[in-house]
Amino acid sequence: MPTVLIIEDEDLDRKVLHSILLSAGYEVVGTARNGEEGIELSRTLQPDLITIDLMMPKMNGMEVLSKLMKENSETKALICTSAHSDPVVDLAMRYGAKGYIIKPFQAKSLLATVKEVIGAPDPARANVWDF
Amino acid sequence: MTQVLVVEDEAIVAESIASKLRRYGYEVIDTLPTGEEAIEMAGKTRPDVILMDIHLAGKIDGIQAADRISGQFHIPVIFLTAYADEQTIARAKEAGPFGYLVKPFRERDLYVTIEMARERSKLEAELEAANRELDSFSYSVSHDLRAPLIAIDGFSQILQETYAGYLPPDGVECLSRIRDAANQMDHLIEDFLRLSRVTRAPIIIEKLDISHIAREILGQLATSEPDRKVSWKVEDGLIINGDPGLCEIALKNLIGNAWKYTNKTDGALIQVGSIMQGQTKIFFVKDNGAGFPSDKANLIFIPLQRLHSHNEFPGNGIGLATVQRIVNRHGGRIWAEGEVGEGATFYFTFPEGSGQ
Repeated sequence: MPTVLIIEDEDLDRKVLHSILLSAGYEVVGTARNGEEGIELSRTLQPDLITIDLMMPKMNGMEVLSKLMKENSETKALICTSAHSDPVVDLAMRYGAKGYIIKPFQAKSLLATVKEVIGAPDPARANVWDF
Repeated sequence: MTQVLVVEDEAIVAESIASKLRRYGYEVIDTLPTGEEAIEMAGKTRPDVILMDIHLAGKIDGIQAADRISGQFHIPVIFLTAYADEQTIARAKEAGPFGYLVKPFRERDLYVTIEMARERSKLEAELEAANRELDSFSYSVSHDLRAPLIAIDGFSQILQETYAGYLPPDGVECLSRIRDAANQMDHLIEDFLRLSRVTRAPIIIEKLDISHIAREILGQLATSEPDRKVSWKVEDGLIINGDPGLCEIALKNLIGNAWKYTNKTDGALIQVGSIMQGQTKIFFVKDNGAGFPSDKANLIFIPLQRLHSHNEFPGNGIGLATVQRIVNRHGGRIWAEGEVGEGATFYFTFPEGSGQ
């Protein structure tokens, strides 16, 4: 079953993303509030996918992404950004992100992006929620 | 038509107030004898103004009722009471009333007080809406401004790390300048955000030992810059009533400044202490660093106003503006004294009670 690690500093966004992924049937194996914690958790949890918020204090999402990719170039990561900024997306892709998620989160498009990267979730685990 | 709710336990008095109000063209929604009923009616009918007696028939008095009504529904409450003793007035103040009329009062005073309360309540509502808008505005500004900055920095970094070999030394230097500038702007945005948060975050008052906080801040600075030789003297037992988070930000800024501006001073000394002026305790943070021209003392609290170049002493001119807002929100005052080359002293007061 595909596993996900969420790196997101804002409580509400973290909860929303968590519940969207969970109710779709993905297994959220960990959540981190900042980049350092996220990098630490990714080492121990080895998730299939890591979602990284762009705007975080101290270490921003791009730095987190670049560090994660340097440690393991096979890492599958998505950047979460509230601004439609093409250069940001370009940069994330250059660093090796598999795609991006626009905030505020919209379940349907978000899950489509996640599915593209790590495949469909386990249907048995999903709540029957029609997004 | 302005709708008024009258809360008064004596029926004859209530009716007399109601008839006066009608004569001035107000609509009296109801006259009620208890605070409990008043809270319920206020929630249901949302009157424009509530006239509230303090002594009421129910379990709660008018002050408690007013407290809940202004907290829940933001309806202006005017107290109408025979009591004008200090204790009652002190309690009434806490409920944030829009007026206080002592019986017997003149009709005209009632009219003027209601009109003033209406106006003030309207202005407060507008201000609150404007603040909310500003909150979401500064949030989106910060995100939308920072995203491109992250891209500028990131692409420059890629150039630096991957393509530095293709560039002459001057080109590599340009890249590092681009990155410095992007980071400088990022800090500026962050500081602006902090300033706007400081202006509106709710204040929670606690007793704070600022001698202790100041020593911790100085200790942290000494650890982060072990090469600097700075001595400090902090008076014991400096206690204020303030919001822990905000006061720490204020002290960090003041002490951080003292630390920064003594950078080029031999025998750098930072003092944190207090003096008594009459009944008022005045706190100070004093250094013997670069100082500033004494006639510019008022300018240094204006955001983005800097008296030194960025090369000489890095900074963006938001720190002291932030400190001033924090002190003002606690109901205190802050001012500065300085001389070029002879250091700066920042004085501030904190009132005994809570601030706004």
